[in-house]
Amino acid sequence: MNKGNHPIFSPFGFRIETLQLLYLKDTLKRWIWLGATGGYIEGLSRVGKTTAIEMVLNSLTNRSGDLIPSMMITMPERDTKTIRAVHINLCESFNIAYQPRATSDDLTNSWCIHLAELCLIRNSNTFVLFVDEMQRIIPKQFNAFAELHDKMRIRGILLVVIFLGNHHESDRLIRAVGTKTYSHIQGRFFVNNERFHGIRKETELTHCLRQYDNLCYPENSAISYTEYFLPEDYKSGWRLSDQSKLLWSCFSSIKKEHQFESIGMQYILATIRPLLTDYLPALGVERLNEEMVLKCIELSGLHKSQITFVD
Amino acid sequence: MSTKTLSSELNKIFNTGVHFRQPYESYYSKYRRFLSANPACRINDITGDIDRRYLKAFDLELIYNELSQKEKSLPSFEMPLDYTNSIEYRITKNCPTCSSSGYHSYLYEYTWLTECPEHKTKLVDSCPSCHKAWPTIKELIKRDCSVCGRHININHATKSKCEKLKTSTVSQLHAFHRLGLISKSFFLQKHIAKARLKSFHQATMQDKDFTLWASVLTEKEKTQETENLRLPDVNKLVFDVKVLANKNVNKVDYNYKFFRLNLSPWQIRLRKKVRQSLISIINTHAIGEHQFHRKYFIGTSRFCFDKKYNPCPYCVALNLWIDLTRYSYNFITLEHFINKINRIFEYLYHLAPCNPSTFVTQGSLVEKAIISDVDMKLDSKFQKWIYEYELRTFFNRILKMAFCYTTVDESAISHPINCFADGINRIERKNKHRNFSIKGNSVISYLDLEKNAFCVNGVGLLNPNEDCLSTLPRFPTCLCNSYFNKFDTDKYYDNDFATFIYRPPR
Repeated sequence: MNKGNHPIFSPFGFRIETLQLLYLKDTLKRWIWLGATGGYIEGLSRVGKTTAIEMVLNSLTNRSGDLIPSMMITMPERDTKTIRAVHINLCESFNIAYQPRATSDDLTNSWCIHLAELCLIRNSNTFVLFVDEMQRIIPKQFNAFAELHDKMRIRGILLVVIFLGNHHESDRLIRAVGTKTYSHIQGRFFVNNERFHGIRKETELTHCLRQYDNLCYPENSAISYTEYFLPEDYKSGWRLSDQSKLLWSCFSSIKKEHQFESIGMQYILATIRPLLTDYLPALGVERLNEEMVLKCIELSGLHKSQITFVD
Repeated sequence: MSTKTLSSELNKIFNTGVHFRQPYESYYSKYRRFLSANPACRINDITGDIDRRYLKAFDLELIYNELSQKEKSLPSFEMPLDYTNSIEYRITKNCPTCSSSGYHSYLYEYTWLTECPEHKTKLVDSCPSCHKAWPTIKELIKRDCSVCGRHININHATKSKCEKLKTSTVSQLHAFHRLGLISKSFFLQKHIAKARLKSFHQATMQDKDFTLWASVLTEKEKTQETENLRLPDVNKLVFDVKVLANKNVNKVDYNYKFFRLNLSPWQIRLRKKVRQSLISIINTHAIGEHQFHRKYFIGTSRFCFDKKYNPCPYCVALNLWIDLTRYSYNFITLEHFINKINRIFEYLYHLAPCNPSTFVTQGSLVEKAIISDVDMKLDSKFQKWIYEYELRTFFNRILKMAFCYTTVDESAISHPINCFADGINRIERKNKHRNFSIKGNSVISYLDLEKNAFCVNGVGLLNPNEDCLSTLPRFPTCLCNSYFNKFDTDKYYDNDFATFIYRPPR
């Protein structure tokens, strides 16, 4: 069996459920169930916002337990930032057929009809649109989303637009939207907000590590990720989640040293990967120590990350 | 085999316009909502061909597949007409309000429907907004009109319009749909147009078997004067009749409607008399030792003969005659039933005598005409005469067909064929049997449509008469003693399954 095929090596396929993700899911559910028209989620870069939303995307339900259709688009960075660019981006993201010379009206109508048809087929009167990289939007482009929201309202569908942005980079935008000029935007999309964090506590790390002991590969087998790479040690009762104290002490020291607010999931995964697949199988679990963990953390690039410091 | 769709062809997602969908929409309506739901598209996007600026039939097929694929999970109401599947097709009538919401029903194309069942407005042949004729699909793309153009007013087309339609409206549309099918089959559109729509509705709604709509129609017919009727000869009888339609009428189609009505007592008596007469004829004249074998055809799932044997044409014909002149099937059941049997059986079924008070004359005697006597006030003598005439003629037809599709001489026995099996492997009858013919006397000699009168030549000369049948060929080498063998079972009609087998003497 080729170990390279293991999901742990998959660049985007390997996803771990965190406590923060569960909390985010509850928050989104609360917003939707209470009839919010939008909101924004901010967090430090590389903490896993996008991945978290991707994991949440097809699991949002209404009060009846029916799935709510949802979709995520990413705002690109462009020299010219226009409302039409938003419409084109929406059509592109949904792969809707359009003519390059189509007017903004035609583009929005196409997109709205598409959305309405999705809702009709899935028997839902709500659609959740996640807009990633909010910091790349300029305030007037929010009008495009406001227009879509209004057009969907005519069709009897509530369009919930939830923006995702990096914490510090979005600050100026949020402040601008908070002015009276954009009060219609503020009221629609910026009343609700939530902060998304990486790993901040040992318990959160333990929750993540426990999944290495529980998730199985190949699928439908009983071989956990930890057992896959450390079969003998796993049989003798060794568990990765039991090492959370040692791991967290290392993360914690770096967190304190660099004044990180939290540790992004990217770095957690990048630390565990060489540790579990290279170091421990080669050197043995009995030789696991702080130095080895610190080396893995260094390999993950956490030290050199651009994570901003707490103000 | 997967269906080609626009999405698969062009790797793009197209909207279907499902919001504008309503019951009984036409192809035209489907294409219009498709175009309207993709406002950002040009024809080039839909065709995938930069040089092409017009839709073609192939593109319409792709669009239709696209719609079918995406909407298959939704309940379907549409029942498109074939002839609207054309880029150049121009709808004749539409309701302006319906058009504003992107709707057009194929029912509106019927000439007899002049009012929108939902909005109660008159169906018009041009757009009241731009004063142009309703556009073709080709013209739709360039038409910039809020009522008839490509773009549909979203405010008029809400999400659940289908569900919001009144039950009565949907029922009415359904009645129109069924009536349309029948009127199309009978070529009676013009006559239906004469009927008042309101009474027409009621009749249709009350009577699901459509037995009343003819009554409604004939109510409109004025009683024709019978004065100045020309009587060519003393020996001719004249019957007063009402002519419902006199051209382009096909009895096969017409019997779809009036097929196998309940027989009245006098009809049962008359039929019994004819039956005994026919049994007597074939037992006496067909073959010396012949004994008629009765077996049901109705309800059997197969109607073909074993290749090893040849059937007795007399038994086949008379058994068919007994079944087809007695059993009653309504339109739907008949349609379902026909799917299970071969086309010849279906054809015979339609030739069976229908209600003698409303029937279609056949052949060269009189050009096809529907004679209507809904009030049953016509001469009872005429009714009895025409019914017996039909019964006997019908037997003639079956017998003639049986001889055409069977071979009964020795040489043919060595080359057996499938009789009544979709007309395949038909073998010309041998010379020996070519003598057989139905020499019926043309007893209906004259039909005056203007005066509404039948002239019948030779009272009592019903066709075929015994003399006629006595000239049938005999089959001395065959013994008709074991025609019916149950050689197979059928899971649906196990008890009734029958096959006609003629065993040659050993």
